Amino acid sequence: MRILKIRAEWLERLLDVPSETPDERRRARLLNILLLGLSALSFLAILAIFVAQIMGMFTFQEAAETYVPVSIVLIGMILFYAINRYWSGQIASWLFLALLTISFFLADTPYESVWGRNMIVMAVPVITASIILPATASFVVAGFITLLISAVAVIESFELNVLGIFAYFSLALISWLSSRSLERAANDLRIINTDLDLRVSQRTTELQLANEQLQIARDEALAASRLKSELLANVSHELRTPLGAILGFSEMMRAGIYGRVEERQRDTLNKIIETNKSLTDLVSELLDEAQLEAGQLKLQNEPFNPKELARSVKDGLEALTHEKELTLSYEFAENIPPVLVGDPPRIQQVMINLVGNAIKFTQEGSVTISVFLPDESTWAFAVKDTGPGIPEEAQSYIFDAFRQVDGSTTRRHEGFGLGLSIVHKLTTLMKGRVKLESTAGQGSQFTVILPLATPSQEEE
Amino acid sequence: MNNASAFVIEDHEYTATIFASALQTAGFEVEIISNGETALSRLKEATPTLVVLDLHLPNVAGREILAQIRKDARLEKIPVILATADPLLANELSSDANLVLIKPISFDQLSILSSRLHPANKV
Repeated sequence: MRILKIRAEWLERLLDVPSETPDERRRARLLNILLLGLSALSFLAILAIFVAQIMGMFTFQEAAETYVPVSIVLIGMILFYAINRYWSGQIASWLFLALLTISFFLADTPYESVWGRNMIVMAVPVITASIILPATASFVVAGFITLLISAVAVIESFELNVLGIFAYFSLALISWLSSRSLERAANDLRIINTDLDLRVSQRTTELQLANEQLQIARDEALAASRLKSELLANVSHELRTPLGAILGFSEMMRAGIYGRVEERQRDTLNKIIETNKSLTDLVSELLDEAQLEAGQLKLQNEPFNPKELARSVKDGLEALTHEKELTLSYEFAENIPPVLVGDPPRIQQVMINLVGNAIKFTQEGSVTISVFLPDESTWAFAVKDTGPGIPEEAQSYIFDAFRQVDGSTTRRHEGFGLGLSIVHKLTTLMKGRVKLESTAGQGSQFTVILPLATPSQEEE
Repeated sequence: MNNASAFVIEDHEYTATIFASALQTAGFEVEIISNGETALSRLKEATPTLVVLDLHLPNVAGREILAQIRKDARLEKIPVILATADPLLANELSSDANLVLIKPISFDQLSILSSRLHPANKV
């Protein structure tokens, strides 16, 4: 198959003539086919005669009589091919037609050409003209033949074959008509093709444009989302700073830094401070909500194994207990489903913060993680320690970001307040709640209660 | 007794005034520094007893100053209170800070907390 293909390509190159108009190209190609076909026939003829001569069917003299004209034809064909390819297709065609007509004419007696069988053979150039030249060339060839046979008729004193001449022109007319309709059809096809090309390229351009616009729109949306996040961070900062100033100066005034404060003034300052705190809470809530909307605090919803999660937290934090006389363990209720649905990284972060805090504040004894189901619609994990416990008055504000129970801070106790505020924020975000049970001196227990979702519920 | 000094590194003038007042109430001698570059050059010359550091500063970011303090053998033991409005950033840096306070910060809270860090009150 491959060889065939290569040969077809080679033949294609041989036949094809580069040209400005597609019609000229087609005609030049047809002429080449004719020329090559005749050349091949001539070559075969020479070969056949040569073989016949060797076999003794012809003498050399007899063979030579055929060799000479056939060779002339062969050389002529190659010459025309060269003219067709490198100079002009039209000239090559005219020369070819002239040679064809004259050869046919000379191939028989003058009488046969004017009145006899050779007339039919002479019709071939008329038809050929309409194929390898513009369709009107058939009339020119018919005219040429008319001149030729009229001249012969006058020289040889034959009667002029008016009917024959009429037949040649009729043939030219038919050739012209059919060739013209063929050319028109080809032309129509070309127009349709060009139109189609144009439309395809137009559509492609349109599509590319639409694509580019989509990309621009996407980039703009991404930029807008980024801007929104930056804006949120800035707004958060810009709002908190003046709130802090109002709070601080009010407290300074209340503390008597700017002079003695009377009872009524103190009451008013208390109201300012209270209002400021509720405004701060409101700003925090709004920002949380905005962050949720911006997708920065987007919750995942994927299956996880609660036991494995607790195990990984325990394994990860175990190293922190080594310096102390402290055991870290976990326990699971029997009815815990093997797979729950939720946001495992967030749940894990809550657990890590609670267990980390418990280890930080407990010098000896135990820290226990227990996972259980409080009721049908929730699951929970509790982190219980045997640490110093949290004084009752501190329990109300322990989840606030800016408070810390033990003010005598050393680096051992860093980030306590913040860790719990994150626990509170994430748990609320997951539509859960945190419960704290603690007695000073007797340890603490934080319980995180989250909505229960299992994969089968998700499907429903 | 009054040999404890504190740096308040904060670019917002009112906030810096409040922080300074809270620290003075707690018994510190306070120097207010309003940009990161000055903070770094002052920390090369002096060794304060306490640093209150804002994270949102001109020229040099607060986290850079915190890193410098923790790298320097002379400064690394200084207690640092981070004061920021950005809880996520604060969470990132909390292991290098002694205390993280989220703005708005209470004057009362800061004066109580800082007085516990005053050398005279340490047991």
